[in-house]
Amino acid sequence: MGRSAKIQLCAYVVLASVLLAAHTNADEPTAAQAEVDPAIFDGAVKDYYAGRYAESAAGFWGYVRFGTPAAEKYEWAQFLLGESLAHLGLWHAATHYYYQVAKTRSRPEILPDALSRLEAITRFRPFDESMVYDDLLYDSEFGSLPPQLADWVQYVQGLYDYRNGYLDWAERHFNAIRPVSSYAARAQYVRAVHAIKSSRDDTGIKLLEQVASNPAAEPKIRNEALLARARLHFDRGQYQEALAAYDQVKQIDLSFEQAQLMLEKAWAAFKSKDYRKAMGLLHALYAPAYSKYMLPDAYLLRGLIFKDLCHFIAAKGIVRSFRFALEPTIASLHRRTPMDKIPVLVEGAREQGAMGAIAKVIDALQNERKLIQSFVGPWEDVELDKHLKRLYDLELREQQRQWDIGFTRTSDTLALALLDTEEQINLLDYEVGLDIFRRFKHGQASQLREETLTVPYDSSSVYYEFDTEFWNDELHSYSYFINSRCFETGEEP
Amino acid sequence: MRKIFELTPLVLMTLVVAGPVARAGNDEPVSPEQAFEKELEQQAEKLPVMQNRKYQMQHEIAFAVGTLPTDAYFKGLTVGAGYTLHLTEDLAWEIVNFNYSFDFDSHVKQQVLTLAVPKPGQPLSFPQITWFAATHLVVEPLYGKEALGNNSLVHMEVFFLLGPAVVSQISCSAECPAISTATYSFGLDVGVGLRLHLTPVTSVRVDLGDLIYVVQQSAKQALRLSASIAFNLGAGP
Amino acid sequence: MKTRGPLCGALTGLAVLTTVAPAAFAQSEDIEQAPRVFSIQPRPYRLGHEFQLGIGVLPLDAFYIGAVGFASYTYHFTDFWGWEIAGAGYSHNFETGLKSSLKSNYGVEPVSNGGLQVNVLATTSAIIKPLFGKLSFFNRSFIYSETFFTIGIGLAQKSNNGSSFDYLAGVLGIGLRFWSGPALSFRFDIRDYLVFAQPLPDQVLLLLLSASFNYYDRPDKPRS
Repeated sequence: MGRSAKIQLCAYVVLASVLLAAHTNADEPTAAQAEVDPAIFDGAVKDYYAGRYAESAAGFWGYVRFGTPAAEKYEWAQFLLGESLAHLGLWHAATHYYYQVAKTRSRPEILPDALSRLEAITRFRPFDESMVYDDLLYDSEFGSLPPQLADWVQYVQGLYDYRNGYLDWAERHFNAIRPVSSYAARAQYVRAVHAIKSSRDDTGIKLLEQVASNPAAEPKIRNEALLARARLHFDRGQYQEALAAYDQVKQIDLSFEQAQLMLEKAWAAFKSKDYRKAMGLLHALYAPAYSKYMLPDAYLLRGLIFKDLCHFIAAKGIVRSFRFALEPTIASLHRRTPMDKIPVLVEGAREQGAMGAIAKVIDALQNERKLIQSFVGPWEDVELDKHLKRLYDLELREQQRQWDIGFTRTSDTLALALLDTEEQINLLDYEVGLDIFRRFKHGQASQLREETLTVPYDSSSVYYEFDTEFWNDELHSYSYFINSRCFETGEEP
Repeated sequence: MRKIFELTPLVLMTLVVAGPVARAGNDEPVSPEQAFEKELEQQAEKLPVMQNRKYQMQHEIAFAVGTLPTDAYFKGLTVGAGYTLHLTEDLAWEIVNFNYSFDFDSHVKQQVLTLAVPKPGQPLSFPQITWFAATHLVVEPLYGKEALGNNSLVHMEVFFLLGPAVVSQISCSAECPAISTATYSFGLDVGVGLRLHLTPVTSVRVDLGDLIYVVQQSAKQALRLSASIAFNLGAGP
Repeated sequence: MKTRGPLCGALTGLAVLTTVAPAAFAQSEDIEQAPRVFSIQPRPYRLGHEFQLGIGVLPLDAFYIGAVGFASYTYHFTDFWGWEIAGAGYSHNFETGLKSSLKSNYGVEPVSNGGLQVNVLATTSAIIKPLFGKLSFFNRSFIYSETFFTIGIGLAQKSNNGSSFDYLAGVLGIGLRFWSGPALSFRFDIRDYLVFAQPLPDQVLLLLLSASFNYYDRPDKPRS
């Protein structure tokens, strides 16, 4: 290659590098790197403190867009842009800018503020875990932080070390958390889950009890610990202990987890032969907030209880209602319809676990993206609306990608559970048919007992008869007064 | 003095209800972090108390009988009707409430008619309410149930009313028709009520209210008490 | 014999129908009687020794309005009934201005200053509490409530121009209680006192707002 050709090649490489560098950061202007008028920032601050958050967001965005990271108030502009967007309900966009400030860490004085916003968002809002936990917190050093934030960072780093199998490092992080912090309880819960996964159930139960009795534990974590403990007792066949543990789980929302809790309690009550309590808990699942959730097991349990109490027609009715509700879905499965085209499975996947969390993030992103339209007026000139829409579209694409990956696994599990339940329902149907025509020898069966219901008028308990209203504080205390219709033969049903 | 004490029952009832319900949360956020967290907490979905409320009022037509018991010169037996549009579970507009009063002379008025000597050309006259009508904003903050002997349920509601009113008065002597023509006074009606739901379509209301109206630049007031049967049109079974 | 087959079949069919049908009907009757579902919750608040302090009004008399200070002690035997061992109210009476109005408008004055005025009401009453429940506040929170009835007997002291007289009185009342906590509740009572000053009793209506302080000392009582 001749000398001139080499010079030309170098020039092209340099030019390409410059162009590439100019396009890597979506926030950096493609125009000339001019010094931004500080009045833009000052005006935006005035708008912010006057409560004009749309205008202040436009001002801060203008400063960030046309300025450089070297500008005097660049990070402050990013942070206050995040604050403005948070006030407007655009939480993902706010998270993005808090993340930027915390990631670059060029202004140590605002780092704690940015982190504290992110910490609060992680507790109350759906958020992108990979951005906040993976990209920002894990494997990062933040220096000296206020105690609450330091505990949070240590917890997240320890959690990820546990997930990746680095137990010693994880313990080092968890041991650095203050015992009075709510993150200490969360760390203890992680340890308990790991112990159970490693088949050390007794250690796991002890740790879960510590979490449940920790006064600093948040209600959600306390509930999860009690639930895990109850499930362990159930798995060991200790149904009374399981019921006692389930009873301690507080009702904090009307989520799928609460519905599932009710079903699990019903199973525990059924195993303890407390059919009235079991049916009462199943009755609570008819509440509008719970009736939309996919719980095929509820049909099975109802059917089993009716069968055990010899209410055969009611049991047959349950079989029919299961088929009415879920036969189209099961038929779709038999026809090998793609899972993402089966609405029941899609809804079922959205309800729980990691997929539920992704679904919540997607819903929040879609709602917030619609909200951008409300602020087009102040934002059109500086193209903040376009920028934010692009930001949300990128995030939605990413979350959708994660959803698609996870859905394959989750939908398989749900489909298998549904088919399994269908099989059990068919077996129940068959057994009910047998029981209806079961024969007794003359004199073998005694008269069935009629237990009359007596409700004391003067009682230390209050009896609220159910009359179509579901009061949320009553959902766990229903008692379904059903009598056995079986003939007494001395045999177990 | 009478006005203050006749307003007292309404105030008492309101205070009884407001007392235990009032929250003492006076925690003002002291730092931006706390303010941020408070904003997030407020946005978090709150757990409602109940689902699938049994009694939802929509178009209410009520027929009432009542009394105006506190006037010195007459006791009114009222009959009335009203129509209320329930906008939400907690808010309603009683578009019109009309009551006609059958007035009976009080013991005091009878004694005055017996003893007093009227001036020549000026027969004794006693003002009395013939009818009154009002439109109310209705706030229904409390709805619930009580177990009756643990064996059945009584569903009830407490509501508050406020709105402008018009009062028609005449002056009567020993006998009506009126000595003078009817006068119309404008004012305010404020009240509190208790509703007992019987079925999704019928309920019974007890209202305690106070009519405050201006007559010849002086304020007058009349305590009213009524019981109504209300029909909820448009309600499902 | 030839007709026996179809006739026999018909009779058999009729016999089957008459035996099966009632059973089927009885069974369907059973199905329609759905089991009752109750939410059984322990009473969050239970009354034991109740001390009541309240203010009220006697609004009905044409000549005066009574501002009443009221106090009582009630012992609650069970959650259904109790005994208001002593309930007493003192009325400070305010003129309504009717006397001056009668004088200026009609030139008349009431006999005996408008009659006797209630000073003291003192009764002992049974309290029956058949209703207990809860009311939601804008579907965001709820308060516990109780409706109770009062029936009792006692004395009413009326006075006029410095002379006072005691009369037998009966009382009937209804009240609504809202709980603030285990030790504190607020009550609104409407009590109708029938004062036997004459063969036909006078009616004295008392509207009362009170705070109640409760002490419950029976923790070992098993819940039914």
